Amino acid sequence: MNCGSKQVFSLGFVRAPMAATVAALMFAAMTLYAQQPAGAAASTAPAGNAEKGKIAFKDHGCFTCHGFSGDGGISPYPAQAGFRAPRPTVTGAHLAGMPLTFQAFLNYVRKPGGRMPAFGETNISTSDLADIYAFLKSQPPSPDPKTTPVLNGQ
Amino acid sequence: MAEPEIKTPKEKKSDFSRRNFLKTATAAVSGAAALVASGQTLVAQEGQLEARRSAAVDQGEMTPAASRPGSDHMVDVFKSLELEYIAWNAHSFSMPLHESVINYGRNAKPELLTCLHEEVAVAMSHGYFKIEGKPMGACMYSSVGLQHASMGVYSAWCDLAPVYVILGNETGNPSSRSAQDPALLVRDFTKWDEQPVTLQQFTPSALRAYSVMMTPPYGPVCLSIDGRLMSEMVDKGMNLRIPKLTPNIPPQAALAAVRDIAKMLVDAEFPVLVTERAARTSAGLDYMVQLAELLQCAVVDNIQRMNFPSNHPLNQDASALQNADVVLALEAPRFTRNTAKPGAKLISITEADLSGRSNYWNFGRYQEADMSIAADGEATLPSLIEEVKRLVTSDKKNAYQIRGAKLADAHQKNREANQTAAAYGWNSSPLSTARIAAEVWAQIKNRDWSLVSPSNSLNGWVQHYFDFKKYYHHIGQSGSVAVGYAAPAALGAALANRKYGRLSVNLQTDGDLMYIPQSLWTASHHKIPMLTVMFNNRGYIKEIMQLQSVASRRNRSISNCHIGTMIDNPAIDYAKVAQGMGWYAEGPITDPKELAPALKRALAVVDKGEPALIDAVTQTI
Repeated sequence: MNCGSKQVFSLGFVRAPMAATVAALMFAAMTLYAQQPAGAAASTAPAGNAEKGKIAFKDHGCFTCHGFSGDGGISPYPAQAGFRAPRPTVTGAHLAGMPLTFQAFLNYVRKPGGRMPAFGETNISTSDLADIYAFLKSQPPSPDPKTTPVLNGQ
Repeated sequence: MAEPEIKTPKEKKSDFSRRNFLKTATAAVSGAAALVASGQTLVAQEGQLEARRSAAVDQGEMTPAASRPGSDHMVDVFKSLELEYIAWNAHSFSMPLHESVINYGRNAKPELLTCLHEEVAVAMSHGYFKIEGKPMGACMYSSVGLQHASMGVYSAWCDLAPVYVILGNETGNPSSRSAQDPALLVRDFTKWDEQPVTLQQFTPSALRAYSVMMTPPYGPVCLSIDGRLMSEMVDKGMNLRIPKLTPNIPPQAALAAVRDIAKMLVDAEFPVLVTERAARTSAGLDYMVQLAELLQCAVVDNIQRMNFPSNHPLNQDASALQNADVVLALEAPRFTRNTAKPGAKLISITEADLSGRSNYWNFGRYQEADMSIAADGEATLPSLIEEVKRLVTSDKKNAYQIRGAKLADAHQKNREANQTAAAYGWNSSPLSTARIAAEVWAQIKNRDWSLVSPSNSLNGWVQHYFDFKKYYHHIGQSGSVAVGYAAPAALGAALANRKYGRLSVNLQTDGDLMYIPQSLWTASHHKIPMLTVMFNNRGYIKEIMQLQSVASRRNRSISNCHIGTMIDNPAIDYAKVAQGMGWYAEGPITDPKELAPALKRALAVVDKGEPALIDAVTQTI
């Protein structure tokens, strides 16, 4: 199960080089897919509880692809990739910080693109998703690679 | 390391020990002068020897008549094959051979390595070969022992790794739980097996097994030895000469074909080299770099061997195949053209079709190639390089340089994208896999290191952080999908690294270790230094994802998908497990700030020649 295993980087010979980061590309993909279902009324985002959201994120199994804090599952060279996978390869999108609106997030969970399975109201309630949304929004930003020597491999 | 001497009731001290007897007997056979010098006649000396021999027989220290048992000769044969180690799980059928190894053979070349499971013995041999380039022996009970070991044999088969499997059997006793045809169990994934029926036949059987094993494509072999042969006394008239072992020269592609391939590569607009196991030895790594740099072409490496430096600017991901007009698959028999640009020419050089079986589907889809050469990739590379050199003109060199520069740019962009991704969850608890890879690299990068776990350890983050350049920098992967290969293979690789003073680093998954935790004991017992850092995500994570996918398709709840997939409640304390088997160990570590100091402490232990383990609790992937 992959949450969007699209090719996120391509060789500059055929396509224009992509300047966006992996995260930005994934968010773009999610936003593209996170359209409101035709005819559905816009729903108001319920207030969410980040603490409850942390528990719900784990209980509903979101952590398996997206990590415990929504940092995502990204691999420079995944197992069993064979000769198919571009690098890096995304198993679960980076969600921490969550720049999407709640509605876009809700729509994506209900009707995702890529290889993420769909989760209906019976799987994950809107209330739980509101808590999860609050949890993800509360996550701190990642450090700047340029200012972290070990991260830079130095 | 020599096993401690075990005293049995029969090994009581007397003024007549077997060693003294043998020394005296040898002198009697070969040194009549010594006997004469002692002032006694030969008859008198022989009389004394006979009296001593009878006394030894009476005391149960020696069987009557004959000079030595067949198993002593077997040890001589193994020594002639230069088997440095035999990984061993003690068992009744091979006791005579066991005794010959540790006494007659002085437990040296081969040295017996104590393993607590037959699968450890085989996988250890597999990992040892990946570093040393030479096989080890693995000895076990023919029926139940081989059953235990069979997955390890399968992995060696899939990974084209030689393992010299020795089976102790006992066909003379129907109630012995041996087997008429013990190697049948693994015949579908071994290259050769034989059960010699006489001591004279044993020698050529043993040599042939070795020869077949070490003819590319390499693979495991079985030599089943009946206990009767081990105990049979060598008659004076027996011809047990050990013939010379002559290694086979692997097949190369025909020169005409090599010239055609060279022309296609040189004339191509965007040639790509793809490989799984092109570098059968360290020479293959050098050849791959030479060829790629001559052509300034993309290399797509499936890292089943250390085929190409990870940070080389020509190292590309699979997206390069979308631009290829010519693809050379070097020992990549499972590469298929549907991953390349439509219309690309595919040339395949592989030894895969020279040796194979069909029952276990290790061979992948049929490879529809435009040109298919059944030859050893590494053996063919030198002539291919020479032919390419002959054809490359200065105009072409200029075009290649432009191509190479673009590839280097793409490689760098790939690295930058990875760098951004590595920052996600950098400070998270549990630890991110990128963080672990980076912290370990920071500690080892200035040392002579070797990654003895799979080449895509820590969700592939080692391929970003570790600078893989030398042949021993990684040992590829299991070859199969088997779990339980990595821990004992790391042990074997670390054993090989030991004599070179290299730092062996094992990034160990929790699921794999729990298949075969007793491998930790062998590391401790034989003082095999290695740094093990757990990738402890407390579950079979891919299986959870697959289960969630099924539940979702069926519109059912995913909240039960932890059942049968999580390794939690209780969480296994790997530090305690390792300490219980004699390791230095710390953990569990969940705070990333604690990792670097823990690594330093562990490395201090490893530098003293002992194994050390850090239990790092991680994100799921």
